[in-house]
Amino acid sequence: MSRRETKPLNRAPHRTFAARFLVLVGVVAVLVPLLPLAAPSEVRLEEKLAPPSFGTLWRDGFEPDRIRDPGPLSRVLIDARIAVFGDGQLGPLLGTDALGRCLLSRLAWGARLSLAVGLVASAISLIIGVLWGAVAGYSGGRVDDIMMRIVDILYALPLMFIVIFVVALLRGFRNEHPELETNQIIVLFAVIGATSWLTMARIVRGQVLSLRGTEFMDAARAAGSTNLSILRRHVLPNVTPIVLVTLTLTIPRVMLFEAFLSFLGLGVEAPDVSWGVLARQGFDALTAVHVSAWLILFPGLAFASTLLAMNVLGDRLRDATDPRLRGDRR
Amino acid sequence: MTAPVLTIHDLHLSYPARGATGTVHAVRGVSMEVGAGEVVALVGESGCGKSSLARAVLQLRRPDAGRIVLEAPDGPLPLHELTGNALRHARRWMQVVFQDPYASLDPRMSVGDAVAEPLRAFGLARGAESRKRVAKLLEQVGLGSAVASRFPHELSGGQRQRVGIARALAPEPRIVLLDEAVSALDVSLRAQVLNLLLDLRRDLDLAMLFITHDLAVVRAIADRVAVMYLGELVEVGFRDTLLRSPRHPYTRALLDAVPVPDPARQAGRTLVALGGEPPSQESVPRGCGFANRCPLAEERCFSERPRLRPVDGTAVSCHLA
Ligand SMILES: Nc1ncnc2c1ncn2[C@@H]1O[C@H](COP(=O)(O)OP(=O)(O)OP(=O)(O)O)[C@@H](O)[C@H]1O
Ligand code: SF4
Ligand SMILES: [Mg+2]
Repeated sequence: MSRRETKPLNRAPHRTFAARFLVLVGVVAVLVPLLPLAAPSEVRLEEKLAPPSFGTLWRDGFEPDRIRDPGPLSRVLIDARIAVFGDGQLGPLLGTDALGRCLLSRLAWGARLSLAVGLVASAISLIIGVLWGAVAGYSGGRVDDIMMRIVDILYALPLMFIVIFVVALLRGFRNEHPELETNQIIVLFAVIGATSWLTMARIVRGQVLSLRGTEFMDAARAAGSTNLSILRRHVLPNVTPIVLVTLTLTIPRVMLFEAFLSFLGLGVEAPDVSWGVLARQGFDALTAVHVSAWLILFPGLAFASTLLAMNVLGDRLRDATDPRLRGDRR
Repeated sequence: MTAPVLTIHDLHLSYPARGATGTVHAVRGVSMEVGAGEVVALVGESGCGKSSLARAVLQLRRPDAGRIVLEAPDGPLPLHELTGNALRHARRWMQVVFQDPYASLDPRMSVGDAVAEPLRAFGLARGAESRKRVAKLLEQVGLGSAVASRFPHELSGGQRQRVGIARALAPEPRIVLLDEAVSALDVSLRAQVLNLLLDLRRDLDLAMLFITHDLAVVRAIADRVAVMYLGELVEVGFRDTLLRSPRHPYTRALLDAVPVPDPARQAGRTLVALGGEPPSQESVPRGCGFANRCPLAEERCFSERPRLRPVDGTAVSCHLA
């Protein structure tokens, strides 16, 4: 027996690492309010554009009011944080932006929105995309035609124009009704909701269509299974690997889309923070005489490593769902 | 013969031809009966429509025409008229073992789940009771209950065939259609599985439509034999009569008139047919389907289609029989 078989987990250390990294990013995103970080909008003009340094590791001056609109969970976490750390906070270890805000803190808070976008997209892909594709592929005929035509139409929409158009409309509306506090982020989520599941639906449909011709589907029908249980017990398990692969492609795509829109000022807006917003602000801080590389480097790094880890993990999930690739049997 | 458990009347099935616009007439007007507890062997060369016949009988592919009546414990079920849930429940009484042991098991479903599937789907057993029955079935087909947690890719072709058989027997049907179900088993295993089937037939009155190429299997298990050629039955009769004195020229060719001196080889002999090719199923000849290969063919064989008619207790479809 080879060493590979006795230690299946060590086969791919990079996968374990990717998983841990993603868990870390996820935990940070959820628990940011608990961490002893500066408030993301705490302005210290006297410290503006300070490069990364360990000069000040710890200092006082936490301003809870500088956290905009915390939800009930965040409020609890903030209270807990104050109970533990008082008003102490980490210094601007990764430098500060043009208003002297701590980049480390803003990166951590930005992870929330960036990951939320990915999460929403994967939920929509999984629920709408998989069901849509599975039902279309399994039904075939007219149902399939109609369902896939809808997907084609949504695919063909000129998204950027629609976003620009709707954002413009929304800004006009906001000027007339400032009291309604509309947030541009709605547009972003609406677009993600309308489009993030399309690729998934197409791929699942193709896979199901080819499954429909296999003999074990006939065997399942001969064994008395209902359509629903064939979908659940034969179709879904057989599309799971491709669903996971598609998901690991969809999430990064949607997160990039968010970053892109936010970078253009069409997505997440200040004072909210996402990694795309941070990149934008880093870009804005660039001048011919003064290059604050860290303001672009760190958001970019956070983004790139998260996307990379997702890809690595996608492979691992796919292998784990395929009994043919599990090495630990017999 | 006791009341038939399965009655097939004038069954037709065609597929759209690949590429071109024509149709492949895979089954052309087959009528036959299988009595309760009776084993009918269906023989014929590759591509003559045996699997298609099984598919159409099970309504896995809707036939173009034809009546299929299945005698269930609570009355006859006209399968050709049933749809939806009624058809689903009717299938409990007629199970199938598919020809291809690789394609007919879901690669992502464990053997135990596969065998339990009909139990669950027909509401016959769940949980511990289901596991117990699965273990028993797996042991009956000589697999041992430990394979329940395995996946199909971990099994040999012969093991998969036995999984297919266990699964077909699980809901205790009245009839099983076995499509080359023992072809991948070695001699002793084959004997074991055939004995199991014969026991079930004795104890439960299980009827079988046994599609096979193997004369030894026909001898071992069949009560009657149906010979199929180009989508039609050309001869149907009791085993011994048919094997001893085949009436149809095609049956004769199949059985090959020259006797094999060594009895062991005789037993293992398979049904290998004569030279030449059967005509294309896309343009079925007007007269006898066998005419272009038949040594006895005469003029009317090419213009007039023979019908299955009784000759000395055997049904034969040949002008000269
Ligand atoms: N899904 C299909 N689409 C089109 N043609 C088909 C299809 N299935 C079978 N056929 C054709 O129908 C004819 C009968 O096929 P069938 O599988 O019933 O033969 P068979 O008697 O079972 O052969 P074998 O002994 O090789 O299994 C063949 O000519 C085959 O090419
Ligand atoms: S009908 Fe004619 S061609 Fe057909 S099998 Fe009989 S003799 Fe041969
Ligand atoms: Mg076949």
